[in-house]
Amino acid sequence: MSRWRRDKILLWALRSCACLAGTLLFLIVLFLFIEAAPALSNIAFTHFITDTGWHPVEGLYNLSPMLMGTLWATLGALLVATPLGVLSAVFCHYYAPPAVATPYRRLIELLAGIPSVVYGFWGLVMVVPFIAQYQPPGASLLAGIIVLTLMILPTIALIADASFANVPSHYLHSAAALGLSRWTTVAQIILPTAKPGLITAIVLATGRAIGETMAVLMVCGNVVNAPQSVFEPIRTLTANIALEMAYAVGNHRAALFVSGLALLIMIVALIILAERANGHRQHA
Amino acid sequence: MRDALAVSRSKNHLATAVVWTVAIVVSASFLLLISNIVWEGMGQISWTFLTDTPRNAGREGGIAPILVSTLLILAVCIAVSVPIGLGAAILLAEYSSDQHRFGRFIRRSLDVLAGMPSIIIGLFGNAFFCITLGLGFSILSGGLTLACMVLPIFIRAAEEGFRAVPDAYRHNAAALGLSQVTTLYHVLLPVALPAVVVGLILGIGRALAETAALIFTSGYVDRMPGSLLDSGRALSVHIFDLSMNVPGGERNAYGAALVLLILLLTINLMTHWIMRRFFRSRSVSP
Amino acid sequence: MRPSNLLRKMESQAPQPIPLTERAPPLFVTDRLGLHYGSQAALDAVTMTIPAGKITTLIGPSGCGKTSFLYCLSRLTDQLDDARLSGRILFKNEDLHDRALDIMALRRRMGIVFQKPTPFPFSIQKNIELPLREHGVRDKTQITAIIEQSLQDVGLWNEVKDRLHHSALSLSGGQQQRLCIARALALNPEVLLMDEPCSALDPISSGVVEDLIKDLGKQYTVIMVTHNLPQAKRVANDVAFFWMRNGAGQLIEHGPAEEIFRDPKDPLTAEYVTGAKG
Repeated sequence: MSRWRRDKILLWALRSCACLAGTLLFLIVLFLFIEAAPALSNIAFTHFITDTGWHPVEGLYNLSPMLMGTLWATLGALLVATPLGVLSAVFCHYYAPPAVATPYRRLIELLAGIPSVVYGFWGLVMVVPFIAQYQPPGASLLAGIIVLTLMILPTIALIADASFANVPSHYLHSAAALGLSRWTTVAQIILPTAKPGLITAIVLATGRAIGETMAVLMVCGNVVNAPQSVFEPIRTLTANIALEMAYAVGNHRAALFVSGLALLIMIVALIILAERANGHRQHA
Repeated sequence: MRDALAVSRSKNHLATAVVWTVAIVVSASFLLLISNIVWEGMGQISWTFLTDTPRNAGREGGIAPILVSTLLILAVCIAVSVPIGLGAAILLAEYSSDQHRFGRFIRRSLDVLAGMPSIIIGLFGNAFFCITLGLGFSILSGGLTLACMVLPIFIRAAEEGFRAVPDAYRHNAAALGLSQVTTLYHVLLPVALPAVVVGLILGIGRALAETAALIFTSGYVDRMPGSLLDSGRALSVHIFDLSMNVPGGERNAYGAALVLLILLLTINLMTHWIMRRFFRSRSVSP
Repeated sequence: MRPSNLLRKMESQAPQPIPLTERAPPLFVTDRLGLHYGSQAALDAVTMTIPAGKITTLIGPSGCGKTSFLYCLSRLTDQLDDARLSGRILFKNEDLHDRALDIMALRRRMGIVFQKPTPFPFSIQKNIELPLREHGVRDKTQITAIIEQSLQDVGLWNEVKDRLHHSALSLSGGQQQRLCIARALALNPEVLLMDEPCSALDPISSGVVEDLIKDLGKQYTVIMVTHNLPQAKRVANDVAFFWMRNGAGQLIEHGPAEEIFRDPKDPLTAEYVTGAKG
């Protein structure tokens, strides 16, 4: 075979690999739609928000408690994890002596890699019983928020850390030359400069929290319930899919794919939001 | 004037205290988590735990078939994602500039794919691999589903690796009349290899940690798998099942969780080692 | 138009500054050669005849298109994103813009040496062996012989003969550049194209490589870019002077080295070679 031919074949092989990888996303969306189609055509859309409850076997498909569960858990975790994560990164960069900063950073990196099932397990054996001592049953929105916070905190801290690293060092030198205190420097100069990176961090963390399944499945109690307080159990969209997928058939199965679509829409909205925030920063 | 200065001073002190407190709380809660798993898990891990089959729904016995299933699922995942991912990465890095529409489309689609929640990938895996392709709840289905998650991570890392190869190599290879196949295989791939390996390890880490996508693709069966078409329970699914569905399963769940953590830690250390070994000292000429 | 006809036509109509073609057969002929990177012009209408059997140096300030010109001669412009050629180039009467031309086979006939020494990151031996095998030389003894010969030619043999299997990156900068030249020579090229081959080297290595180029000029046609005027004076038979005009590189003057340096026709050339400009 001539070398020229080999090069041609190589190029086509590479193209097909890239095509395959690039169309995967569309295949996924397509299959979600195909599987959700029976529910979308048999069940009027309003059923997913106005039915009296989620009893798929009896034909009641109200997804809104799960939707609320997902939103509350995500929101709660974000509210706690954002300041903690950003301050963690601030600590690493501007407060900790090098001998502390390096192990701290390694710890956070390590935590970013801990599987969600381990977080969930730890929440189940430590956090849930702890809450139950004060406010039974323990498996609750609060437990979910605590575990989710721990899971997304490393994401926020690492990205914030990376964006602090990109703050030009002459900003710091100038701030020092002006005699600004450390906190003034951080609050007035560093944080505004690193803002795009921080927004990216929050958006990614939000995506992670919305999509998280195992940890919330294990600690939230999974009662279909619109929570009145943080001590009540909830069920998230993801947990709902994981719990019922194994035995769901017919419209029930299709309704689960509808909730998958709902998740997909949230994530896509988030991605679009992130791009707006970053002013259409293109991949370099 | 002096008051303002005093206020700003005390604000600064307060901030310092807060930042340190946050750092201490964060590291304390994480150390609590890790030490708890390590402490409780240590008592469970032994040679028999690793080589025995689970008994009494996993409350007793070990995790041998689960380790085997996990490795098989990973093997399927790697066998599929490495060739496809490498091909896609090379195309993106070597044959499509940033302005190129095809390349931009693929990069973008991969970026979105990387942000997909694993449960959605799991739904797709169930619908496509298990049902449409008729593979059923099997190690093959699980591995293929994980490949969908690993591909964007691997491709991104491998693409960066190829992009980091100095253009001088490409120009010299072209000047010598080397074919693209030879240039890629003999010149570019060896230079990009450390980055490709790091990407692969990151992907394996992600796959090993994954649970949600496996529950309804590779399934729950905890017997030793006989073939790739058998259902097999991954380590992470085992931890989930023991702690949620098996009263009294916590002891062995701790053991399995520690094994999983050790595997992931090993992977983390390998990545760091490769990065340090190959990326600091990679200056090419004088 | 057939390339040979074109050549004849160009020769007949050309009111060329110096009739180089009378003294040596032309190796390259360019006709209104232009090069654009995107919308940015790099070369503008370069018409030039480069004779075989001589050392031609391309001089001029940086950014004046010398290197771009060299890239055009070897079609290395293919390697650059969004580079666009216009005009024509003939290499031994073959049209380099011909789509059917086998570029890989063409590059074998040209040895190209870049400014920055870039041995591939494997052994010294494999650096020379890989291109040989690629171009169909499979016989072990023949390969060994060619490796030795080409390393002898660049004066590297005695320095590396005991460590042919060591990484080429372990060599010094000057040695690396000589290895790159040897790698090009091993393919037995018809011309050597060199892009400032000494400028990334320390003064001693630079001297060694310069002497080597002078020697090679006795056997090979050499076309070398340099912005080191004394070096051009020392090694060149012919000199082509490029200058940037209206944002694009142009050929100002081309002729035998002694004429360009002693008695330039163009005032710009005069200012440049006396150091008054550039």
